[in-house]
Order: sequence, then C-alpha cells, then structure tokens
Amino acid sequence: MKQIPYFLLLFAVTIAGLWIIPELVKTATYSRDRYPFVYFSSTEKKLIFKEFVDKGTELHDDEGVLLTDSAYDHMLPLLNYRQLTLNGEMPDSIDGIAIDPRELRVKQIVYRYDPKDKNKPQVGLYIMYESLPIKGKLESPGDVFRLTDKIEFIDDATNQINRSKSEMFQKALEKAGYTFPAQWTSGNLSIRKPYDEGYFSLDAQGQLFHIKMVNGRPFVRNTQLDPSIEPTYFSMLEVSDKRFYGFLFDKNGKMYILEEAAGKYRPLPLDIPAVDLNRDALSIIGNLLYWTVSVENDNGKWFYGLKTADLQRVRESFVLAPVNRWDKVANKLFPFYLTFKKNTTHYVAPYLHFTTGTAFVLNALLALIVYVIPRRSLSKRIFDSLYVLLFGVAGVVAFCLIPRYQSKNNQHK
Amino acid sequence: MIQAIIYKEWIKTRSVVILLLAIFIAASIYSFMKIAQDARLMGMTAYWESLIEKDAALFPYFTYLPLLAGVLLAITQFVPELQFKRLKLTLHLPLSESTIIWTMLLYGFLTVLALFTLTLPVLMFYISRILPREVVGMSFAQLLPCFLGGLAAYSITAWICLEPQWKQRILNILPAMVLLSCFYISASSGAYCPFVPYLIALTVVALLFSFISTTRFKEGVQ
Repeated sequence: MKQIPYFLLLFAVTIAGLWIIPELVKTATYSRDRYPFVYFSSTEKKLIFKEFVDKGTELHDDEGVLLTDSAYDHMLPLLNYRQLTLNGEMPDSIDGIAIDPRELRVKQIVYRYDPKDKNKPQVGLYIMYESLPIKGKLESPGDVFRLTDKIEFIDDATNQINRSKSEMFQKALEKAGYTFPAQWTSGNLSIRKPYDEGYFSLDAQGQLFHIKMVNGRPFVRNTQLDPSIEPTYFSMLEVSDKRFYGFLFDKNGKMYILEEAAGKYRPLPLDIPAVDLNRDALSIIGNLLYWTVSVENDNGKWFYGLKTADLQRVRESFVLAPVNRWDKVANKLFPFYLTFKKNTTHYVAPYLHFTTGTAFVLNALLALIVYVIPRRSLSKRIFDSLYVLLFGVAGVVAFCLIPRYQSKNNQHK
Repeated sequence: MIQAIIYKEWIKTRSVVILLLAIFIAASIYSFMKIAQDARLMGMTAYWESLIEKDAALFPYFTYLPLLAGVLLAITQFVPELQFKRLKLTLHLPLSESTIIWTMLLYGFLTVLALFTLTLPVLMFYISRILPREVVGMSFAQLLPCFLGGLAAYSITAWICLEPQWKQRILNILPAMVLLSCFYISASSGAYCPFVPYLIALTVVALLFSFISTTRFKEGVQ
C-alpha cells in the first residue's frame, strides 16, 4: 500500500513529461507550414502560384510554367487592378464582361473558416441589432438575448428579462413554426459590420430559421431548405453586394452559400469535395468573375477555381503538406506524445498524438540501458525497463527526477 | 489527539490564514470596484458586449492568488516541521504516522478549500446581480482551474517542503512546476471544461505525494 503514492507520482511525472518534453522540442524545431499564395487567373483560367522561397518569391502557374512579375500582374487583373489601372493596362472587359471599378469592389469577398471557429465554448448570448437602422448605422440595442427552450431578451441596465420584447419574439417564432429548444444559433455579434442580417437558427426539428429585427419588430422566416440538406453549421458573412447571407454546411460536409431570391432561400452548392469542419481550414477569396477556394488540413492544401456566377469548378490543384522539422524530430524521439491544446479546437483536454512508431527503437535502446544499470532487484529492473520501453524519454526523466521508493526490506532500493 | 494536532496547525498558520483572508477580501472588493468602474466608463451595453464578444476576464487578480495562497499555507505549515527535525517529534505522537500526516495535510487542504469556497460564491453572487447567468457561468469556468491550481499548489508544496533532502527538494520543484502549469494553460472561458475532471484527479492525487517525502524522512534520508 505504501507504494501507491510512489507509483501515482511516477505516473503523474511521466504524463507531465509526455507533454512538456515534446512541447520544448517543438518550440525549438517547429516552423509554420508555408503554402504558396494562390489566385485564380480570370484571363488564363489557371491557378497562379506565388511561392515564398527563402527571402524571395517564385511565380508560376499550376502547370509549373515560371512567370515574371509583369506576367503575374497581367494574369491576375482582378487582384492587381489598382497597379494595372495606374499603368493604364487594365483591360476594359474580361470574357465580354465590362470591368467597372465599383462593381469590382462590391463583388470582392474574403472568408476564412478555422475548425476553432466551431470547436469553442459558446456563451449563448446574442445581440439583436435593428436591421433597418434609421440613421443608417448599427446601434447597440441595450439588451442581449438567449435562445434555448424559449427566447428571452435581457435588459443590460437592469439585468432583468424584457418581458414585452421576449413575448413579441416568442410569439413570432412560434407563429413561424419554430420548434423549441434551439439546436444552435449563428450570426455576427459585432457592431462593426456593414449591415445586419440577424441570425440563422436551427430548431429542434432541424429546420433552419432566419431571425432578425426590422423596424423594432421580429422577422422570422423558415428557410424551407430541401430535407436532403441537414444543416450542421452556418457562418454569416455580410458581403458588400448582399448576394448571400453566409455559408451553410450540411451533415455530409457539403458547403453552400445561402442566397435569397423572390423571398425564397436558395442554397447554392460550391463545387468542391465535402469539407470536414473539425479538421479542414477554409479560405475563399472571390472577385467579380471567379472565386479561389483553398481547403487545408494535415495532408496538404487543395486549391479550387470556381465561377462566381454558379460556383462550378473550373480548375483545381493540390500541394502536399511540407514536412516540418518538428515532425521529423518527433518521429525519431517520441512514438506518441501528449498535448493539452490542438490547432483544431479551443478546448483544453489531453490529446494523444501517435507518430510513425520508429521512435520505439530509441525507447528500446533506453530500456536496455535502464535494464543493465545494476544495484536493483531483477523484478525492479524488468519493471523499469518495460516502463521506459513504453514511455521512452518521459519515463527516463521521471525515474531521474523522483526519489526511489525505499522500504525497510529494500524492495525498491 | 487529532484536535490537538489541528490546534497545533492552527497556531502555526493562523497569522498566514488571516493574512490570506484579508488579501482575498481586498482583492474581491477591488475587483468589484473595477467591474463597477468599467461598466460606468464603458456604459453597461458596451461592457456587456465586450464580455460576450471579447471574452474579457472579470477577475484577473484571481488567476494567481489561489496559487499564492496554496504555496504560502503549505510553506507556513511544513517548513517549521523540517527545521530542527520537529517532524520526528510529531511522528512520535501516540497516533499512527499516516493519521498524523493525513490530519496535517487535510487541515491545510481544507483551510485553502474553505478560503476558496468562501470567495468563489461571493464573486459569483456579485456579478450575478449585474450580469446574465451565461456570463456568470463563463466567469466561473474561467476561475475554477485557478482555484483548483491553488489546492494542487498546496499539496505539491507540502510534498516539496516535507522532502528531507535538499538535492531531491530541488529536483521535485521541476515536475511540480510542470504539473502546476497544467492549471494555467491560456484558454478562453469554458475551454477548460473537458479538462476539469483531470485537474480534480491531479489535485486529489497530489495530496498523496507528501507520503513519499515523510517515508523518506522516517527512513533517515539526509
């Protein structure tokens, strides 16, 4: 029984070592994966790459043809239109579509999704802005709301429920067929946005509702999505041309933009493979004619050129994930290691990472050394070496740091 | 006899316990004043928005105060025991050695726990009057690992203080720092929730580490 504290301490220190030793090695060796900047050429209909090599850049298309700076500018007129306009080299039209600087500006979109956006604690409070503000700019309403088994507005001056407003929205939600409790609600809480479109909320029945406040009154509408689409995540994006509300992801990872036409919501799919929201980071840079979409995970980064009008794929390319120095070192030193944070989630928890397993060679070598160290009983030597074989460097460090258990019969001398 | 040991521990630690209580009361009052001032200067609406949007910490002073409390109480309680080997006398009292050590450890652990259980509800009660329950929950989730860290700091410091050998005491500090840093990984409010059971387990298990030190002390390790 007296050995229990010793083994608990040994285990706790080993676990700490499985975390901190790789963490220190990672700090010394890790460098960020550098992928090229990729943009779809509206003139060449190719993906154009800007690689960051040492201190310079290398420009090439998706067939590997090297480009000069000038060719790069001309191939990407919708990216470099300011430079081309200054030089008087901006084309008047591309593919028969007139290039109007104002139109170019409003059609530009930038969107980024990181798995951490989804995998994080949600406060569960939202701010309902007036979507048609009298003065034209958004103002704080003086209350926040929660949407769980009912909708409740909480006055921020008194911290009390605003009963009349809550009842007004509750009735509007019930009238529109919203079934409580809400599964999730998504919108942009920030006041620093060009306009407000409220929130999209998934009800208990899996129906997606659009909820906002217009002229102080509730606006609630069922999006009436096709039953084959089971929404799992919605990301609001206030785009300048108000073409769509945001990005919708369904259960199968299919990605859509949610448009509205003649009072009806229309999900338009992006012609890209299914996205894993818990693993893939997304980036979209769009212009008047084409969108460049990138999807990145541990394996590499996929690039897609889509037509802005119908979001159909025109071109695609893949770049394999660069082998990081940290990965090489980890493969040799640690068969597995522990982290408490992960780049795909905000949650702190023990995450076990397995490498290629070649580091078991090092573990075996360390176990052998531990076995031949004399002045211990055979059973102790076997236990120590098996422990080191399993936990490797962390096991050795734990044995070095904590005192040997001693008993009067020298069981663990 | 157990009451006598508890009384002995109280005599040793009463000034530090009162000091810690005063520090916690002062920090609580200052935090309330700061919250009230921020709300006044920013306006309640903007203040609520900053809490919801930016995940601002409501009680930043309580991040490391519990750690300080745990370390300070353990030092006050166990450093005198190792001076002139007074622990040898204590262990000769007519009680089993484990009962004596458990009594001493539980006295300190429960004192720290009492300090925290007095403070935490007061902090939560104050903000629940001016902030919605979601923000109160968020703040609780933010403070819980820090308070658990304070309890673990007590146990781990006791383990280091009771260690009879100076060289080993220094070696113990290294894993102690790593184990305690698990409670202070920077994260947004609520992000620690899946990790809290592990932190509670570590806090409880760390109480047992002191028995390794006392066993070594008893066996005359110098």
